[in-house]
Amino acid sequence: MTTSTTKSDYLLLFRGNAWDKGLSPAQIQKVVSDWMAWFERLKAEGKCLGGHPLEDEGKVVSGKQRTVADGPFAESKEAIGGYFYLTVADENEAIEIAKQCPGLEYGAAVEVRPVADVCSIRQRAAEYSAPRFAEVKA
Amino acid sequence: MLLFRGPHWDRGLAPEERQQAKDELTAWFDGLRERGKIKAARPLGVHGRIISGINKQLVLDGPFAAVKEAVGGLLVLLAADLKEAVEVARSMPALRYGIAVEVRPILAEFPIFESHIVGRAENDRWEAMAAA
Repeated sequence: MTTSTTKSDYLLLFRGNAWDKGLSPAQIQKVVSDWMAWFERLKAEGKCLGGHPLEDEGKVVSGKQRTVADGPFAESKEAIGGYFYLTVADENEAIEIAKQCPGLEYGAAVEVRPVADVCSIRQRAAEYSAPRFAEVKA
Repeated sequence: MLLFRGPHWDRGLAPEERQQAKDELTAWFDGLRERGKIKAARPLGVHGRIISGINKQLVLDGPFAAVKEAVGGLLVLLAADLKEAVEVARSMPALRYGIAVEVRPILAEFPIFESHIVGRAENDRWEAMAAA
């Protein structure tokens, strides 16, 4: 098992699942190919561990009644369309990678978020008791 | 994929309540893991950045949404269909404290994406959270 001590994990959340509106099929194909090539390159460089596109549809569960509503959560301009899981040196590198997103010039946005070692609720709960949950290994 | 919305749902809980919430969440998570339902799960730090714009130079402090709606963590769930995924989401204990769970099918149309998520080395890191 490799011990990567200096790497940090970041998530890129791609926002906006309507960037393809108004583009021709050829243009869409171009962006999708660029996107996949980008993904492949990051994989080859060892900077991306995985990723997925998400379907446009979905459900949102909320409330004490556990109500189920049609999703996605946000308006299409802000909805999450997919994600990459990055392992990089620091936030700056994650931001530089985010700037390479082929969807940016068509209105997509990229949210860069650090992956936490321990869930915040557990962290806060740990202040009151000895933690037993999910310490991240390596 | 389950996206947990509202990372500060536990604010305002008394210590005992918070401990109880934590225990419930732990039991919920462990139960799913033991049934082999979890492919990956990670909490996210609350801060972040947003990159947008044609010139790619617009970098704002994030997260993207209002705190109440911000994504606080994600879980790649192995479920037979959307119905099962929704049922799992409905069993999430923190719902009663105001968290929301967004359930989104992962697109399998791009095998090129699909083929990479289960790589062995990746999985070690990905499932780190499950290594209680």
